Amino acid sequence: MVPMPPAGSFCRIRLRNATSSGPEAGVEGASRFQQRIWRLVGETVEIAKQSAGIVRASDDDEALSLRKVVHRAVHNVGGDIEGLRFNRAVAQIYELTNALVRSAGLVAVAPAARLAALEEGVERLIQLIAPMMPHPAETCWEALGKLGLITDAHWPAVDSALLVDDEVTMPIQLNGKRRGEIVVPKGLPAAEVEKRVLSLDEIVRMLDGKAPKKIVIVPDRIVNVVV
Amino acid sequence: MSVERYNPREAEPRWQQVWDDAKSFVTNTDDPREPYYVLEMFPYPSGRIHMGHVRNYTLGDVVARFQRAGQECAASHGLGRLRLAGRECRHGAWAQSRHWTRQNIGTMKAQLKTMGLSIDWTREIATCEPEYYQHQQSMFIDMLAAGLVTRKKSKVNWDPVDMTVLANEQVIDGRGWRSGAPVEQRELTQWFFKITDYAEDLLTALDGLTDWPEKVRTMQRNWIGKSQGLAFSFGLTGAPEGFDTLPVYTTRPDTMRGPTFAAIAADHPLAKALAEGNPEIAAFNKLCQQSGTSAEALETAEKLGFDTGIKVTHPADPSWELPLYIANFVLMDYGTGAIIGCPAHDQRDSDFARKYGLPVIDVFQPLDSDAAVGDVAFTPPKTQKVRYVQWFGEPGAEITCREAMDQTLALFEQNGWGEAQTQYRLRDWGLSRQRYWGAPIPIIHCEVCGTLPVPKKDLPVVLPEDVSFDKPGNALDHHPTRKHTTCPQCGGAATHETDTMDTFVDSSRYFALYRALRRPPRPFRPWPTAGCRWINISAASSTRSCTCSIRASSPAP
Ligand SMILES: [Zn+2]
Repeated sequence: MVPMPPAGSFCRIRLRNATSSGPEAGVEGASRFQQRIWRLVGETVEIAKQSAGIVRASDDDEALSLRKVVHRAVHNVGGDIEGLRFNRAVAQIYELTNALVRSAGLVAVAPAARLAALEEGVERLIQLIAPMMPHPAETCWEALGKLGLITDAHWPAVDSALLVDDEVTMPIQLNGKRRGEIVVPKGLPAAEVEKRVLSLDEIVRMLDGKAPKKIVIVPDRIVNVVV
Repeated sequence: MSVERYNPREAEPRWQQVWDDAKSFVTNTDDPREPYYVLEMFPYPSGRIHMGHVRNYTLGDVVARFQRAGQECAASHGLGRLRLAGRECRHGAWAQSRHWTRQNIGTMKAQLKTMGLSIDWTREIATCEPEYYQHQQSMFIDMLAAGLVTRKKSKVNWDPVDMTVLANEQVIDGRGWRSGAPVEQRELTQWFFKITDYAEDLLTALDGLTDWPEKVRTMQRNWIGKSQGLAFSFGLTGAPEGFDTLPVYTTRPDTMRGPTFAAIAADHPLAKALAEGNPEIAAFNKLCQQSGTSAEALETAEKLGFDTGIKVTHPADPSWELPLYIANFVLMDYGTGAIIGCPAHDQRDSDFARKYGLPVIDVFQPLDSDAAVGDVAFTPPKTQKVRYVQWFGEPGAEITCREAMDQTLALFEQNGWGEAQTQYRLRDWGLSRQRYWGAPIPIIHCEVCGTLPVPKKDLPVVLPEDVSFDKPGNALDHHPTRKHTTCPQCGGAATHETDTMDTFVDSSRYFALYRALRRPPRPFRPWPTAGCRWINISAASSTRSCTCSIRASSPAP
C-alpha cells in the first residue's frame, strides 16, 4: 500500500514545480501519485484501443462493485471539498485509484462489461483530482480524448442508486482466529455464504483437502470455520 | 500510447497558457447561476511568495475550481477570485517605496501565476494606487459628515528619532523598534473612526457568527470588553481649585467597603494641575509617561505611586477618607482615569498596597476559611459563592460575587451614591499616521474656516511620488509644495492634512472591491454600493467595525 500524502503535499508540489526551488518535504509522495495516475490513464487508453469493436455489455458483479466505489468517491470527495476536509478528500481519491488500478488488471477477464466501468471510473478520477492537481488533470483529460478543458467541465453526476450500500463484509474465522473476509450481498442465505466461503482460495489452501468439522454462520455478521 | 512519464515542466506552463488564452478564470458577471466568491487574505508584497501563501492559495484554489465545476444538482456557481494588493512598505525600504512595492507585486504575481491558480487577474487591485484608495477618501468624507469620524487629542507612543507614532507592538522595552530611542508619551491631535458607536452591534453580532472558532469569538468579546459597573464620585479634600469631585468607574461595586486608597493616571487633569505647582509631581508624571501603554507593559512594569496628600471621601460615608495617589498602572483612556484600590481582591492593588504600606480590608472570604487574605489577592470567579464580611449588605451573607454586585448597585442607586453604567473596553480607532506611506487623509486646514473636507470633485488626493526620505519624520510634511492649497470655502491660502491613514484601513475593505468592475483610474467614481449581491461576508475586527461604519454612512441605494 502506497502511503497517502496529506493535502498539503499537493500545495507544495505546485510550489516546487512553479519555482523549482520550493521545499521538497512531502512532495515525493504527491509526485509518485501523479505518475501513478498517469500510468493508469495510459493503460486504460491502451486497453480501450485493443478492445475496439467490443460491444459494451451490461454490468457484471465486478463491474457493478467498481461503479459503486466510483460513485461513492465522487459523492464523498465533493462533500469533503465543500466541508474543507482536504485530507479526507485525498484519502478517498487514493482509495479510488487503488480500486481502479486493481480493476485495470481484471478487465481482460470480461472486457465487455468491465471496460465500460473502468473507463467511467478513470474519467471520474481525473475530474476528482482536477481541483487539486489541475495540470496533470488537463494532460490526462486530453489523453483520454475528452473534448474541451477539464477546467470548464462540470462536476460529475452521481447515480444515487449506486450509493445504496447493499453489500456486507463478513469476517472469516478459522478456529476462532480471523483469517480473512468475504463481501456478499446483504441477507445472503447461510447455505450460499458457506458455498462461497469454501470456494475462496485462501480457505481452500488452509483446509488443505480436509473437510471442516463445523461451519457457523451468522448471516450478515460473521463466518466461523472449525476444523 | 507511450509510457513516458508525466512531465510537469512541460505540462504546467502549457496549460497555464491555454487557460490564459481561453480567459478561463475571468468572472462572467452575466452568469445566471448563484454566485460563489472565494476570497483569501491578500498578500503583503514582501517580495516573495512563501509556504504560508502557497498553502492558503492552493487550498482556496481547490475550493474555487470545485465550485466552478458546479454541483451535480441544479444550483451551480459562478465565481470571481481575485486579489493581490500593495500595502505599507516595510522598514529599510522606504526610499523608493511605491516603485519597490510595484516591483514586488510583479515578482509575486509571476510566482502565483506559475502555480496555476485560477485567479481572475483582471480584477487585481493594489492598495497603494489612487484608484483603490480614492474610495477610502470618499468614505472618510461621508463618515465625517455622518459624525462617525472625529478629531481629538490622544496619547501616543512617540519615537523622537524617527519622529513617528509607534503602535504598542512597536515599543520594545520602552524603546522604538527601529531607532532604539526611548519612547515618549505625547499628546497629538489625531483622526479617529468612532467604532465605539458600534460596540454593542459588534458584540451581539458575534452570536450570529456560528462558523467562527469559539477562540476567535472570545478574543473579540474580550476586545470589546463590555462591563456593567458602578459610576460614582469621590469627594475631594485638599485638591486645587476647580476639582470638587473625582468621578470613578468600577466593575466591582461589591468591594466598595474594601478600598484603602484611590489612584489617578499621570495624565489625569488633576495630576496635571498638581504638577504645575510641584516639580516633584511633574517629574513623577514624566516618568510614568515614558513606559509603554500596552496591557503587557503595564502588567510587567513595577507599580509606582506618588502620594498627592489629597484625601478622597467615600460616596456612602463622607467621613471615610482615603489617600489619593498618582499611579503608573492607571490609564486615562480607560474608565475615567481614576480607580478605587481594593488590595484584598485585586493583585495589582495588593502589590501596590504592600509597597506603600497601605492597609488591606477583606471584603469576602472563602466559605471554608476565615483566614485573612494574605499577599495573594483573593479573586474567585464571580459565579462562586463566598462569605461577605465587609460590605453594604447583610453581614456574613454566603452569596456569589455576581449577586453581591447586583445588590450593591441597587443600594447605591437607591441612596443616590452612584449609578449603574455599561462600559466597553473598545477604543475608537485612531487612524492618523504621521508618515508618507498610506492614503492621504482628505482634509484641508484653513486658518479662517477651520478644518474642511476636500470637495469630492477634487478626489483622489494623490500621494506625491517626488518625495525625499533624507530627513526623519513625515515626508508629506517636508514636501516643498504638496502641503499648500487653497481653501474650498473662502479661497484663501490653506494647507493639506499631512497625516495618512493607517494601512489597516486599506485592508479592511478590499474584499468588497474585487467584485467591482474594472474602472478607469480617474476621474473619481463613487464607492460601488449598488448590486452588492456578491457580498455577504463576515470578517474580523477592524473589518467588522469598518463595515458597520460604511453601512451606517452609505446613502440608501
Ligand atoms: Zn477658508
